[in-house]
Amino acid sequence: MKIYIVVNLVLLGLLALYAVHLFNSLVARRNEIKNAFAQVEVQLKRRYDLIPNLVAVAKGYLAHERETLEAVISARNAAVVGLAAAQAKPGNAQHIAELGQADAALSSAVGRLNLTLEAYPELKASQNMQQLSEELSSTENKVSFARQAFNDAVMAYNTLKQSFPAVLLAASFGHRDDAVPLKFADTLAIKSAPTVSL
Amino acid sequence: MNFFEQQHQARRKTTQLVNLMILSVLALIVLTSLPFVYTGFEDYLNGTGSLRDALMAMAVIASLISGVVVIGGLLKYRELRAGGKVVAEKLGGRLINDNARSLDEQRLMNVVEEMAIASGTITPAVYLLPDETINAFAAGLTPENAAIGVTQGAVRLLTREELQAVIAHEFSHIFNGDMRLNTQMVAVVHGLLVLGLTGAYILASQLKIESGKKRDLRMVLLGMFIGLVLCAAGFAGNFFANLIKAGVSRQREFLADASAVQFTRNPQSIVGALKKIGGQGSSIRAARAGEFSHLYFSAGVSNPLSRLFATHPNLSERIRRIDPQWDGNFAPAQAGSSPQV
Repeated sequence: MKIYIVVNLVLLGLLALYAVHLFNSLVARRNEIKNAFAQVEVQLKRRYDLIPNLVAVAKGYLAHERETLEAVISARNAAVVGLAAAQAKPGNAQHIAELGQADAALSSAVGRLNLTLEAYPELKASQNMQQLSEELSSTENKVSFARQAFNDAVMAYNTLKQSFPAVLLAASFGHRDDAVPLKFADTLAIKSAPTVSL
Repeated sequence: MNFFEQQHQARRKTTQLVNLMILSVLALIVLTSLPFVYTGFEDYLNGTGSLRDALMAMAVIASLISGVVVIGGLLKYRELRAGGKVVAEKLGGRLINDNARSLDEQRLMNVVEEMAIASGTITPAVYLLPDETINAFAAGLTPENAAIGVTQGAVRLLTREELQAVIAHEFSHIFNGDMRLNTQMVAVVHGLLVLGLTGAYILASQLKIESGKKRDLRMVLLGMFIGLVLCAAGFAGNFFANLIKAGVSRQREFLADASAVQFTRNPQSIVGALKKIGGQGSSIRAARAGEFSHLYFSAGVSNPLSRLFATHPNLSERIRRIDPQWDGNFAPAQAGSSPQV
């Protein structure tokens, strides 16, 4: 009889230990996601801060391309608003989707501007412009690497909370919904057929 | 084979080699102590002594021998424990964090920050080496005190993508703890060398003829025997431990190449960097370059015993692992360079 009780107590203790461990891992993974998203935001913010500089440098050379420049500025301002909304309510899927669209619009506006710049070799060769385009391309890379890291963190969290036996407990620990991976400009670009102009 | 499989394979081979290293050091210590306790076991087999005595004698001798190895190893480990910054400064590097003097240096800093984000580690100290060849290294035992060094030639001759791949390769060494592993292996190798040197010292002291002193011939012979056994075991062990260490180092290079592909998702960039090294050379001129050869991106010092002791796999083999369709041509060497692979 005594042995029976002891065995049960030990089993209960092990279960409790597992529950504590699971609770802590879930919290750690969720915080990793938050941190990774903060990193994405930091890099997006940096990108939006750099774009007015790009426009300022280009303005002097591109007097008759005002439309292109204005399109970049308005797309940038829309993206800043989207980023602020997403930061105010972290994890809100709708805001993230809106930010994704605004960012995609900005990317295509900057892409058009870059195409225009091809026609101005002296602008491209200027010291300011070289520095700026290095900073911009580095920031673009950082945005995409930060997204890669964010999506990896989301995958680790979802795998943990969906696997057995964690799936039995995760909901009662307050981890009801799966985290959503980021879908940004690329998703839209992949869905639309590539256009080649000659 | 995709890059995750390649990483898995390199990790598995590393584990096998490290286990082999541990087993061979243990076997070496047991084998070395056997001659000294031979009489004890003989007594036991003849029925005159007990097994316990024989084993006790063996334990004492074995712990003496391993004591020499451990002390030798620890001394070397303490010497090598210095952070990455010390290594970078010994190689003549200049710190460029927050101190970039040109567009190229700013580009290098940006690439390092990008890879820090991709691999999820903190941004290390970045040093620029004056050499005009293409090479890079990572040093430091923990991510916190790690440093990455890049040669002037790499910054000047590689494209942005290729530089990114080289930096990603170095981040993999930080990320996978290769510096710690390598330092531990260097310590073991050095411990065995100290064992051999101890033997050589005992041997030499017995051979020294001191006039006017009469010595017991049997004692001299015993001393010479001890010295000879320790010497043979130490130097043979050192030789084979070096072989295993080089094998581990080569596996970690494959692992780092595969991780570079994982971080950049761009296999052509690392292939491009390796091809340019094939055409341009990667030697590092600093006087102390040899000490840190295992840290480099590509072999920094040429080794006469080449393949067996090489810390880096053959360039062609590294390229073929990532790009099996490679035609075997390196990027053309530039004027004034001595190709060295």
